[in-house]
Amino acid sequence: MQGVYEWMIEASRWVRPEMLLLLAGSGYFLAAVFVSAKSRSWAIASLLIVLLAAIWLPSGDADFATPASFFRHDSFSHFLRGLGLGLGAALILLSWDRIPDRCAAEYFGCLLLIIAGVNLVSAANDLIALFLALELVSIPTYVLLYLLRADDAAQEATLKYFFLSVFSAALLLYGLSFLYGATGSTNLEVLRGAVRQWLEQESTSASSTLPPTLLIAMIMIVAALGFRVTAAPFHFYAPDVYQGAPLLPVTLLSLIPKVAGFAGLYQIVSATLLIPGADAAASPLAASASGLFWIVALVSMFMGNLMGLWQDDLKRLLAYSGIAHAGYMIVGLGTGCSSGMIVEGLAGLFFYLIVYSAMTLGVFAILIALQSRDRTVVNVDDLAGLSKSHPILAVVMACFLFCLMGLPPTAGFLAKLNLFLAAWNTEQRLYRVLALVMAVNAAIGAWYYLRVVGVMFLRDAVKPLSVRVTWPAWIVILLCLFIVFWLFFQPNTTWTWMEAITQRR
Amino acid sequence: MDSEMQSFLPILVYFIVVVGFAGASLGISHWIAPKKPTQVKDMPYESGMDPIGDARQHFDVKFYLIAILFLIFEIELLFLYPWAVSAYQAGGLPEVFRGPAFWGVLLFLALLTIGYVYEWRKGGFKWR
Repeated sequence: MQGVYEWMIEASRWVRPEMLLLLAGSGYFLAAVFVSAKSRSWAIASLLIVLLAAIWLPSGDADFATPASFFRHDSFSHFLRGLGLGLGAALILLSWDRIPDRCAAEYFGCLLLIIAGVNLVSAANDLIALFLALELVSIPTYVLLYLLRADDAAQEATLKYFFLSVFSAALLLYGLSFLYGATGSTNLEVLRGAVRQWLEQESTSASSTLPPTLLIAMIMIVAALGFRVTAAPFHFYAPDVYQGAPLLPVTLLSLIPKVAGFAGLYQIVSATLLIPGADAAASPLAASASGLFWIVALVSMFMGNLMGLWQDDLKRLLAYSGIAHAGYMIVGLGTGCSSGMIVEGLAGLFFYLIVYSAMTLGVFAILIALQSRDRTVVNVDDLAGLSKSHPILAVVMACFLFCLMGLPPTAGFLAKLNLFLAAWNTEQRLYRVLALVMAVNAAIGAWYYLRVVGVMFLRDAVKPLSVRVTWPAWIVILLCLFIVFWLFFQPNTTWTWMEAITQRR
Repeated sequence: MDSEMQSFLPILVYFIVVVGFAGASLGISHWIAPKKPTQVKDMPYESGMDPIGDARQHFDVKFYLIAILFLIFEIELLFLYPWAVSAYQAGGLPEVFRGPAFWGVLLFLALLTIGYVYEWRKGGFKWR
């Protein structure tokens, strides 16, 4: 108790990047009413703040946690905080001078708050911190969805997202309260210790000692975070919201909540299911949870890919593609807690998360770059003749789409292969079936991606697109392209890294 | 026995005074007040809206803004009261937490002030 000051200063040193982002975000709102500046100035300032936050990010070797601490930092949070800052920087570059000056300060302020939220989800060591961080992501997202364009479609999209997101937050809170009720502590470290103790008792005594409320908590949490990662059957909002909202917030919506949701899911799963030293397969809770993930993954993959076949609207198509990819990633999560295959499944999940971020960001960056005041790209048909008007962009877009399909030589292939092998190697019949389902789904999904490629290269436009792609957009597109190929040819460093972060606790 | 019952005497007196005051003020105002009822005066008060009729009616979004603003400051009070009561009392907050809690409350107030200034400058207080 004596060293509270020292401890607080020590703790605040580890979350310094996020504190900077939060203060800057709040400062933007204050500045918004006193100074008027161009969208580009706010973007430059935001980019510098994100860079400073990245410099301040503690290294992955350092491990900071005191038993009762609200936050902790280790290789896992180091990776996800880096990913959060990277995605944030990319989003700032994409919105460079596309934001109307009247709301630029609010837009970039919200963006900074969202980045801080994503980072804090992966740094949380406490259920309360986890919940607050997830809310720090959602609340500015509601604002962003409605800020740029205030028409009926955007209004409907915002309202749909708002109500369902609030509902899922309530579910999450309900689930977390069961975890608290079972252990009497909101600290993830204490939770982990309690579960380990139960598992040890379980192996010695005949009767089950694991409280049944843990299973209820698990179901609630999977439902609530399944909403964030748009996993079926919690995905219904995604296509409508994506279609109604402007392209920039949709880009954010397809990346940031997924990263935050999987970080949150992993935090909960690693505290309650993946207990080092304990036999994970013997835990009845892990078995139930892996069954739950099995169903969610199966439904998400089929829902996303089959419904994707019917879509003409590009944003709807990408929404269903996102649902299918969430399904693939949940295969990794389920594999992780099904039996001894912890590392492969979970490392596969985070590898997939990087690749998914790069390829989805790439596709959205191209779509954003193609928008202009007099011509919007809404439907698949609007991309017709892109190979004539913008040959380089068309080829790059095709690369991203091939990556989304999972074709070599792109990282999408390796990412899917990792998850396929992890699921196959569990040596459980259910998960082997899931691996096969995954392969089948990759083939189904190829159809709608190939349709876009076909429209770009084989059809001529009635009225060709004529936009000059700005340099910030080029930076994002080329970086994504680089990641998509580099992770295919040089996956070893990243893969070892991903294995290391899932073995940390 | 007697002394035990006697300790309840103040409560009885209090009870009589409360009921008596409430009854007396209602009765006297009923007796001496002028009675000129109109339809509007007889309506139950409901935030300036017609309380009888279809619940699905349009109402001014300005009410909503005021309500949100009210909520924010209500919640601020909700956080300040427990802190103010327990911060400097024996058996309240432990000595070492007093400093951090004080700065935490100040930070909370500062963040709220940012919202207040934003709302003020954006014209949220104007009844337009």
